[in-house]
Amino acid sequence: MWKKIIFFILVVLFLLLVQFSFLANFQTLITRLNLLLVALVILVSVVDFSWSLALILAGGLIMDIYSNLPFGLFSLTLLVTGVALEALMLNFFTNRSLYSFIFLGFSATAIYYLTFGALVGLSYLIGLTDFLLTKDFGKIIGFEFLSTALILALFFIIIDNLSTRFKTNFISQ
Amino acid sequence: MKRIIKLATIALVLILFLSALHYLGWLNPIESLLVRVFSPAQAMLYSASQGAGSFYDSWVRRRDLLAENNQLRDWLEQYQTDYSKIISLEQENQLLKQELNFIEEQQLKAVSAKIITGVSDPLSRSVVINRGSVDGLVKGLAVVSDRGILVGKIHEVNDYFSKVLLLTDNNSKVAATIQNTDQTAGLVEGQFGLSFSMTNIPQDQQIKNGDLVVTSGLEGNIPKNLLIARIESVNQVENEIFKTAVLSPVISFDNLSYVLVLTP
Repeated sequence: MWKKIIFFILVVLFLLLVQFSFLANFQTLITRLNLLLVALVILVSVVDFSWSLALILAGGLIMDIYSNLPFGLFSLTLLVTGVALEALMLNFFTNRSLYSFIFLGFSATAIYYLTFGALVGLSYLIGLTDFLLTKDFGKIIGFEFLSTALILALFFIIIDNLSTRFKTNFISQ
Repeated sequence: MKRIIKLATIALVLILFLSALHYLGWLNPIESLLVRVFSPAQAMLYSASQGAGSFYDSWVRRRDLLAENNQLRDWLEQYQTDYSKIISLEQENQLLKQELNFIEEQQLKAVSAKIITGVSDPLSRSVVINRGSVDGLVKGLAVVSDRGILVGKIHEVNDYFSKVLLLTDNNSKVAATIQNTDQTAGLVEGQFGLSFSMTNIPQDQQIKNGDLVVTSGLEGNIPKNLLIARIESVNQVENEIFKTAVLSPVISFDNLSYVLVLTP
């Protein structure tokens, strides 16, 4: 159990550091990958919700520390996204096919950025932050819809072909 | 589903509790500890991204080199035939040389800092440096490159790290002066994280492309005459009270590794 937890923490840290210490510095659209959101979709799909919650709290805390936005904004955004994805999984995505996996990725990006936009707008209105969404932000979201779905599809195909561990979770369609 | 709601409620309370601790400052030691623990790995990744970025840039720019070379030859011929422009370049050169030894000449106090990472949010153009309030940093201090060129301002200070808002950020505003005969004052503002411009320039002021823009010293924590940029073009609309100048940075903000924070 402890090995799993340490491995999990290291993976979360690695994803976050790669995301905003490496990829984000290129200032190009193609490197705007939301690896934490991808990890959240995968966790919601294959393991118990408590692991997703651990990712939300650990990832959210680190994102908030390194953010210029009000503290807690990323944690709340991830929490709302995680709960919504779990509700979608329980009620609509009992069939874990490639298509449902990709659609879950689209839903995750939409919920994440709707919540993020709403919280940023709210904090701007009540004077907690000076930062507001710019026109470039639309491009970032558009690209992330595609990149998140693409990474999830690749993950599904690789795991489905190479490992038998998740066969109970996935069906090849 | 009831279990999910119960877990989510606990998480929500925990997030609100952590946020309250953050704003009370009680989370500060933990935040500092985390940043200090992560900073070696982050600095390594940041350097790696710079290296990869340079490689990519050189590869992309190679195809434009011939055209650019021809353009530069044309410019050189132009400069050779225009004596007044050579004089202007000499003055510019003199100023840049002065900037080179700016810190020593101005007898300013400076704290050297290493950029450890960018920030996690996609809305701002900032970097995180490895110096904080224990090193005497406070919000609003000027951050300059090793050649004394202003690159941003301290936006947020923690014990052992600080966030620097770069001049190109949309929310960045710095009081500035153009080095022309009128010493025209204005405001240097960031433009969508990509470039910056000088606004609030009265219409009657004579400014031209190539003029240098320096800090005005009107902001308490930012010394006077720090080089910011040079004017690339001037946007003038009749019937407007002010005109705007598009600025061209003197150095690239993407390749910064070390900076100096000017302390009072």
